Amino acid sequence: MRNRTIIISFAAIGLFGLLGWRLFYLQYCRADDYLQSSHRQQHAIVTHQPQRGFILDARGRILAASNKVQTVFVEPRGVADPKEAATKLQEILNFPGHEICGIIQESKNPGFARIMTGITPAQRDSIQNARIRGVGIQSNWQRYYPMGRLTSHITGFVGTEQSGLAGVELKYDVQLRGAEGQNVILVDARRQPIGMRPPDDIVRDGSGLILTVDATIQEFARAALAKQYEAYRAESAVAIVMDPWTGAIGAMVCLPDFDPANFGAESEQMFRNRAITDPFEPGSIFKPIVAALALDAGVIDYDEIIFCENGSYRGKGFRRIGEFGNHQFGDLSVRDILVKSSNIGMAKIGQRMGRQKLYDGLKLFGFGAQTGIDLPGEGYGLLYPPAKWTDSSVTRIPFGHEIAATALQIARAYCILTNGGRVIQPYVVRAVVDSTGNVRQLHRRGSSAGHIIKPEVANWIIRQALTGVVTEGTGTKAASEKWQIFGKTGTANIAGSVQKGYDQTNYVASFVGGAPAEKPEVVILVSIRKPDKSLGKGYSGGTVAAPVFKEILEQTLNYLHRD
Amino acid sequence: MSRARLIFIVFYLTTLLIAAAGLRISASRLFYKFNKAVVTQNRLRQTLWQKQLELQNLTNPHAVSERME
Repeated sequence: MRNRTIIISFAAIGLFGLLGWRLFYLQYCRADDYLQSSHRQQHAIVTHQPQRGFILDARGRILAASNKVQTVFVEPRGVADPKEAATKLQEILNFPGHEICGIIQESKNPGFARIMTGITPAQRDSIQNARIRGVGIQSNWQRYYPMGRLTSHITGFVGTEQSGLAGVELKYDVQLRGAEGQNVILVDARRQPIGMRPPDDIVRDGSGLILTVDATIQEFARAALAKQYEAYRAESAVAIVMDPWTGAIGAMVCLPDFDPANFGAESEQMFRNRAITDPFEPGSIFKPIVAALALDAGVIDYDEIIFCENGSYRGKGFRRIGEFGNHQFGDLSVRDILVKSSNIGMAKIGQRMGRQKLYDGLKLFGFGAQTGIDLPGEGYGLLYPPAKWTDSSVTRIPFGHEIAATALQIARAYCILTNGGRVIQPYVVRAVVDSTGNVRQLHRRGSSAGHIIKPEVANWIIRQALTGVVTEGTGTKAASEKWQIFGKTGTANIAGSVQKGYDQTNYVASFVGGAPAEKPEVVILVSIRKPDKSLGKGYSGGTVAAPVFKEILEQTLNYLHRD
Repeated sequence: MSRARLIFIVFYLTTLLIAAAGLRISASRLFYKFNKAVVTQNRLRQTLWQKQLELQNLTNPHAVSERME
């Protein structure tokens, strides 16, 4: 009897010991697991994707915006009878039942098969009310570009994950993207929501961008450029409209362009913003810049006469230099050298400057470096250091050979000449505005480091020389009855891609200028690459690019002065 | 304790429990209604935004000049 009591006591102690150990194991060792498990049972987490920020033009028109789009999907493994599901969906979606059935049965993913994207609110309610087993509705953000191709190279586009892949969509991706948030909802045993905890992460929608680009001016530029681009069967074309005082880009068009909402169907070549990526030898549009540097350095005078060798200039260390169109100029003033676009006159000005002065001046104008525009993929152009120059470089660079610049670098250089010699930085985003309407970033007119050339030199180049180009020189097709225009034509050779030297059949036809000369409001660059010479309609900057410039300029100034 | 008092206490506690359960159900129902209204509001806002985008599609300078040609 005593032994039995002892055995039972030990058994009881052992049993309670085991129970105690089990309690200790559950309460201490596995506490975290069970806490998590309990948390999972009592809570449901809903993740909210942020709305990507909008992109507006200078007048508040939508260039890019996101909105929710509903997609009907099926979970094939959860559908007991695909035919029945397809029949019900067919009536609601007005979509052939046999095709729905095929999608369900042929889906390689047993968990998801997309049936239709972009259903109406009525269709969504009907599907929800029908309670079809295995059928669900998914909400995703979709990016819209109401202007289509018009601003494609500026806005860029987003990928499937709604992240920017080009243009300001890429450059300002961090600001546009926003941050996702989570709501933790308390649920009962049947997973029905019964309350909400204060959210850990509140969804933060992306900030919006307000651009300097005006869609109306962009349309003027695109329409005029596209007309000539097609008429001359050109390889590509670029137009830039800039405010010379601030560097704000009013329009930037590159052809060919693409539809940002359907970029997958386009060639990658179309995505390149040629205005900022592609360097080219600028040709004669480069002459006013070098002339301004020479006048500023004092190596030539405004009224100096330079002998232009009657159309053929030979010298030690460089190959023969001729004039475009085989002109034979004799004595020309500096103004006439620009008005008549004399290569020989410019070569002699370059020789007077010498390597170092010429190089230093061009660096001040920003050649061989990025302008710093807030768009991705900007090129540097090509300006070799003087040590790499040949003997002919000082004679060639002054008329735009042996140097490569992007269209934007040239446009900026003309802005500097136009505003009296002040350096400006081009930009396309005027302001970043958060989802509550507060301005987070505002582009203010940058404080200039000073003038890189004397204002009187810049004013003389614009008002005396470049107005003459339009009234009596190579750019008469850009002349306007209403506005006093200044500008410069350029017909540049293209370096051969295979053989040494220049391609003799293809050119880049350009015109850069602005108006009104007394107080310039815009600077416009038009550059058309490889207009088809065989059409017999001409290929020079004065013939191909100047009329486009005139059309854009007149429409833009009339628009800006419409009040 | 008298029998009547016992009945009163049991009755009182039962009523209290039923009232608590009722309040809890009402709270859940209101929470559901509130969330449903939030979802509806978001949908209406998205529909409005969609209409605005469609309007921009029709009235932007590019679309207007295309129609004028």
